[in-house]
Amino acid sequence: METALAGGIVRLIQGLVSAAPTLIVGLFVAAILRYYLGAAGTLRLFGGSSLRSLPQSWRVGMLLPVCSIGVIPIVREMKRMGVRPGAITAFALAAPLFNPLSLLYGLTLSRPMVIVGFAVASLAVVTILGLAWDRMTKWRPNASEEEVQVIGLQRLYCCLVYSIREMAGPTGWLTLLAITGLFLLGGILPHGALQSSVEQMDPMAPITMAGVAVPIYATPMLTMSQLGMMFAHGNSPGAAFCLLLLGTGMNLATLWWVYSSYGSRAALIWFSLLIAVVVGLAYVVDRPLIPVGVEPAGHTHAFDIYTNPLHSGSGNTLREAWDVVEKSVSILVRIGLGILIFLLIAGSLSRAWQKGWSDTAIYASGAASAISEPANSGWNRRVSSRTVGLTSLAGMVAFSVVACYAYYPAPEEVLEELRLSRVEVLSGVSSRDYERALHWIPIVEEWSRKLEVGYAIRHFELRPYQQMQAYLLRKKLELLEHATEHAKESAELGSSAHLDEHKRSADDNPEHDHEHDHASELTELRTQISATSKRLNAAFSQ
Amino acid sequence: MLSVIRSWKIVLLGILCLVYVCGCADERQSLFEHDHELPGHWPRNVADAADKIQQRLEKVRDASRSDSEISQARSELEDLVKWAPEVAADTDLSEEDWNPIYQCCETLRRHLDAGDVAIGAFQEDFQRLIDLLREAITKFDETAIAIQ
Repeated sequence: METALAGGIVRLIQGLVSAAPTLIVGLFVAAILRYYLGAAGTLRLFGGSSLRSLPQSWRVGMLLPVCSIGVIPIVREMKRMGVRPGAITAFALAAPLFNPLSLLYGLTLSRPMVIVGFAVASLAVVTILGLAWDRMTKWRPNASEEEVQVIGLQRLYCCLVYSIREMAGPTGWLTLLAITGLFLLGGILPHGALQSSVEQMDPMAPITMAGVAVPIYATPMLTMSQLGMMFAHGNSPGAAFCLLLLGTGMNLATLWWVYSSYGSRAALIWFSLLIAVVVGLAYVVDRPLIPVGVEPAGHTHAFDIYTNPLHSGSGNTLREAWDVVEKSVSILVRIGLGILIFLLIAGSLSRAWQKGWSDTAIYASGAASAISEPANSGWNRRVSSRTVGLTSLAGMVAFSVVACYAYYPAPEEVLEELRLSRVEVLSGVSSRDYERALHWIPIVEEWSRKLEVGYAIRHFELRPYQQMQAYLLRKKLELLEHATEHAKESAELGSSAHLDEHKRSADDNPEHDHEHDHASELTELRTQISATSKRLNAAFSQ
Repeated sequence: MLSVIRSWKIVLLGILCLVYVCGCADERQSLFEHDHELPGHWPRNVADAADKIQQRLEKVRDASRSDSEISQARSELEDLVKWAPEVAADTDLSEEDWNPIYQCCETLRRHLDAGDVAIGAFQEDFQRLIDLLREAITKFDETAIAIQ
């Protein structure tokens, strides 16, 4: 019980920490829709009342860097402004799936066809669901709200107060509900329980994944790295599709929001339809998207992050839990979390002291002062709210593009980072500092993917040889990770159980002892990784 | 109605708590379970890949063999064609020398996946792949000598 609870809390904290950046973006976008674009502008942005609204919402969603928690304040605003329910669904599901960063990352996972296939299939899901949802909710276009022209500091003040009150209000509660799914899974599923549940050619794999994915909250980048692990291990592509659509596209809060906004019957139909379409499409893509030349490993570590991070029976559960939390919180994440906590405290204070706060009153007074203010000439021109709003959104998209180049640096820089992190891995292994090696292995893997994307977005090509060398490096790192874990376990435990197991195996098969000779295995892998790195370096330096 | 809703919520919460306490799957105790098993026909090196492709090709063409043997050989041949670029890339073969192997394997793989033509129809392509692999051995050996 202690391990379950501690593990669940660790997952809860990790979920909150990873949601922080995109939740802030979501609040920002919602404020822009509310105070800059207004109802008419928002309706136009999401395709109005035409059928075009579904693919357009899908497209807008793919451009904005938000996760399934970050979309919560946005869809709340869209609903308030009378956007078509189908378009809301399309946006809510599509926005967390892909963003420019994750889409580029996704292209390195397997054949680019896989991610393109997933994107097309996700469009099919949101279109089918959106059409059905429009019909079900009997939506009719509303007359647009009267737009109030308020500019300047008052509008910025409204944006800030709205964001903090949302954070300390409905959006905050829904965020908590969303990450509760991780808390539940972390407690219910023991450590490593999902490692062999989604094997290639297993007919139950997509359904199993669909069941687990519903309470999951995952950021797009996390899911992309999980898909990477699944493809590297030759797991079921259908299960990967379920994880993407249901794990990243929605969470418990999405479900709750649909229920509270449209009623229990509609929510049940929506959810059933979503599951049916996603699982159906998962079976369609399961065979055709099996990665070429990848031998199934019989397991995956991709879902370890949803199971309990702690081993039962470990001596000091709290200490171990704290170690796990500490390792997963980087400096950037701390900044995001700090901003979120600030918003939360400010929102709570605002809700406590300004109980009757309403932006309508500020708008009314602001409108009068705005109209009476003369527009100055030169650079100080008055522009419409819509222009400012669209410029902000376009700025955010432009920022995403710039962020792509920052997140995926030039190959020369990445190769240097790769070299440094590889030295950490190899010296960790040779000095038997296994913790250090295990800490740096995922970092080297991450840099190898960044190398591919960074090269592709600068040269508009990625040669098969380069892809193959990057794949080989990751494959060997994976083997090294296992060998290091074995060596670490043996070093830590040195238990009679392991020795007995080895002895028994060695008696049964004389070659077995040789196979598990960790030292020679590690040395061999170190040599191979050095050789592959040299080739990788040459391939990307040309 | 309200009491019914309340009661199912309580039951659901109870089940959830019970599952939470008990867990719903087994914990993985040891990472020794996770070894990546290599299939028996995984080639040890480029020369082995060429030999294995040659052997499977002969088996597939051998009319005296049973259907199951031919089917097994065909399946292994498909695997070998998929693995050959990886095995070749894991050597000091240059990119220029690796590319023809990759292209040849991709062409063969596409046909084998589609199953549109009998294996006998790609006789020349298979032979070319075997030749390329055997030729490659000399090339990277030469490279190694040059480095030394």
